[in-house]
Amino acid sequence: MSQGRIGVFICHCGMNIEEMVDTHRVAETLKNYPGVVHAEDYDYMCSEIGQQKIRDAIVEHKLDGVVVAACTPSMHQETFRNAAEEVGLNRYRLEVANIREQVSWVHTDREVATEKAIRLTRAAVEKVRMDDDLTPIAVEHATKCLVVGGGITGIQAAVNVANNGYDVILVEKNPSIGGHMAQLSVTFPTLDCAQCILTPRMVEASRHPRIKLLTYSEVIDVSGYIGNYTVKIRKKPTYVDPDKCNLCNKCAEVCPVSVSEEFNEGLSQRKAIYLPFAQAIPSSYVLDEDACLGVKPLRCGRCQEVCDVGAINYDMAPEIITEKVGAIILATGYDLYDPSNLTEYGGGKYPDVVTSLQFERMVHPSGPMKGDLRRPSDGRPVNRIAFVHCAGSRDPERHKPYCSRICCTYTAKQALLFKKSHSDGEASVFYIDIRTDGKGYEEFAQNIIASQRVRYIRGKVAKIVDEGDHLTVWGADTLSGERVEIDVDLVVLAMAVVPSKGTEEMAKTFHINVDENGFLKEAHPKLRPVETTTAGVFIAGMAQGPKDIPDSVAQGSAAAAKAIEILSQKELTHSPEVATVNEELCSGCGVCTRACPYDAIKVERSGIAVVNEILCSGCGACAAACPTGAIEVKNDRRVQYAAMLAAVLGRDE
Amino acid sequence: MPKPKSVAIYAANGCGGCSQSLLVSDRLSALLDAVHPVFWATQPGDVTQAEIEQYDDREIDILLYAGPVYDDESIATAQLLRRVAKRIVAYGACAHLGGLCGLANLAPEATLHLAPSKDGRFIQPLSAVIAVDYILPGCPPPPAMIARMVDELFLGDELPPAGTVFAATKAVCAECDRRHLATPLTAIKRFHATPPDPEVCLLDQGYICLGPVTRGGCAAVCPRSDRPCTGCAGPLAGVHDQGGTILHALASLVRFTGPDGQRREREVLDSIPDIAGTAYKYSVAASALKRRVNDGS
Repeated sequence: MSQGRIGVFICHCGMNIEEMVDTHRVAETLKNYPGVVHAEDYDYMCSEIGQQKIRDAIVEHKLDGVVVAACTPSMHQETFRNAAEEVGLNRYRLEVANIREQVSWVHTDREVATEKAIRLTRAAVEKVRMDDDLTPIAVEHATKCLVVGGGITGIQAAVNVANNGYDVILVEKNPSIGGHMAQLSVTFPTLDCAQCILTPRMVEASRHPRIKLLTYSEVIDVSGYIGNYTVKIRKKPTYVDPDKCNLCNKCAEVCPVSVSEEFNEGLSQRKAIYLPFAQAIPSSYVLDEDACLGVKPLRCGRCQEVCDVGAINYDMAPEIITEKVGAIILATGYDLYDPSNLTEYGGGKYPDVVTSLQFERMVHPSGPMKGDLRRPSDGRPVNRIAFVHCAGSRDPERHKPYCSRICCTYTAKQALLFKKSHSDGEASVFYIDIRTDGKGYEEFAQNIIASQRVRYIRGKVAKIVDEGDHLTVWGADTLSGERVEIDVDLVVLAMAVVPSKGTEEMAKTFHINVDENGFLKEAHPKLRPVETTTAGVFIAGMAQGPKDIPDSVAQGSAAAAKAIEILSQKELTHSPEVATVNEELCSGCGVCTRACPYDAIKVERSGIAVVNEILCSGCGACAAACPTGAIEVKNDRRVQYAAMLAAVLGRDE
Repeated sequence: MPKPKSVAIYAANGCGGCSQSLLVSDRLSALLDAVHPVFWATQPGDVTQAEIEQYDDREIDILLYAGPVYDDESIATAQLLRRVAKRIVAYGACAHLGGLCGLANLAPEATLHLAPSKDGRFIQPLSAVIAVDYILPGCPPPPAMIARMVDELFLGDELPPAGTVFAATKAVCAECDRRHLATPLTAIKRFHATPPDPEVCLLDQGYICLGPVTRGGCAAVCPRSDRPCTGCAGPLAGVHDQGGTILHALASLVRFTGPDGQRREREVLDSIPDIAGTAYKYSVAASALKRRVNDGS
């Protein structure tokens, strides 16, 4: 409790506040408010001079509470609290009244705005009056980092964290790391081979002494809190010892089962025992138990019979690995929107209407066609090709409302690749707008458009009809206003990207949110782009939203930096502004345990609710839900709110 | 005040349950041994206003008042009783909160058989018309609470402080030993359709139980008998609105995630039958709602 020595500081924020609020009048009015012994206004309270004014006044007037009326507390509350703490005031006795976002920026009448600023500042004085001295809670923490997702983003994050001297557990659900980037032919705009730039990173991640690679694995349970997460990982059996496997391929030769090959986007077949792709890491065959005729009980056993090195072991069982980690990075990537949703284009139905990723595999020198582009239906060469932008993107009525960001540029690249190998071929691109954001992308795409070797048609494709030996694409050229009907051999749909399968369930496992399109949600769209609302859990790459490789890699490094921020601390501190339970009132009804989004409150055997202060974020959901008023948040108590409300709504004397 | 020497019991317009609860109490003989019973009116008219006027001011040491007030006559009687009694106990849910009768306040006035007071036809708790010294909650008050009242008020050396409620300070849940579930509430259940699990918290199972928002002291007799608490002992100290608080708690308990989560939450909450009658079963007259103010719709 303040003994009535409160100082009030009103910020002009240049003209941001001053233009709509008479800050001097606010200061003069507050000078006469009970308990206030000092009030002044200044241009920029957040400047060093402004902070010094606060420090000086605390010392000179022996202040036991401070109110800064300025911008939102999420901007500078920490700045001001640090300043106050330097001269001995408990940091939790400084409160910020938001008179910028909640006053000057939203009002047009200076008189009314000034009155509102006075009332909000008075309310903050009332809060400070009843604020207690609090001490941050110290927490020990683990120094390992969990990275989920072994695509380029996850690899980047894992290597960055490991290079800083912290152990990393890199979990990938597929049998090899590499992600979608490993499937790509070349990357825009430099046209360098995707694998050539990716595989060194894959090798680095797999050889790094500080990275423990768990492929064919999924996180099944997460408990704990920032600095102290316990994660359970389930590693599926591969039935092949990667240390013994010599990649001789004899097992695959005798395997009687063929299934669609994921790495080639279903354009080829693989056996039940297979090498995911040539540069797979770990470099080993794996036995897909779902496709296999049967391991338990054994139905076939031919692969083991032919394995010269004894690498195949049918007794391998799933492993549950438990790790304690201090920080978590989720980089679970994307999938393509299911093309069978685009019935008007024959997506998923016409074999010669393919997705952009299928096209990447078709033109890849080591892909199913060895780079010799042919129609999947009849194997005939492709001389006429159409690319369709925004296949599922930017279509809020029927598909996805957002722009998938990468399609414009990769379609330009794919059209260029086609023209390079088919100089007499005809390539048409149907687009809505050309959105080639990214360094060098616009120049890259415009070069291709300007070369006139590719026909760019502005308009949506209405319908695609499979005529057997060719496809007819019906559309409109919105620039000329004419209907367009062209016959082609192959159509490539630039499919929308969507969060990878299982993203929403994974978000639940990690107690984080997804946005309206199912991508992992960041804590703040601008200032906290790789953080989540769960402290210690970070997101990066396509899982957060559509982005290209450089942005994904940058986010991977950003998430690594945020993780290292935690791992490098001697001990973590947690805000003491947490919920407390009045044992005299708590009946153990358990309503709070449901209201809490952080699993931070439990009804103990004693029949009393107990708060895990380290998990508690002080959000107050439990306090609001508590039917008996037994729960309060420290320095956010009901008596404080009652006094604040009275100060806001009360009549002027 | 020294030990009380006299008691009077006035049961206004209730169901008779309050009188019965005292009759069957194992403290009745102790009570009657300790103090002189001035009168025991089991219904209005047993003791008339003219008869009450015969008593001197503050002549009766303790008056137990059961039943709600609702018309000019009952208000006038309550005011008379206030004059002749030193201490008044609001006995039972009707006197305490308006009780079940208070649900009439939600019905269109034209459909009511209540006699009108000068303000209209509606039920009020006793404390709305006269000062009340003590509260004995319950519909009817459970034996343990009656015993506590008799012991503290009539047999103790000193009177309990004014405002004492002869019930627990914690909610019913503190006396209930059902265990909690970890799963969120996704459907509202009703007894006639699905029998409850006898060991799991009724609210967690989806049966609307007012235990969390209701004063204990009853040994959680209803939940222990597989019946949800209906809230007869009224709100805890510091809770302004018992019904609003359980609805607020329900809103926190029902939770769906995913894109249509909010819609599904709303559907579950909308499926609560007779929300006012369930959440405010005994407390409409003493709640923030108080009564219907507009008959047009």
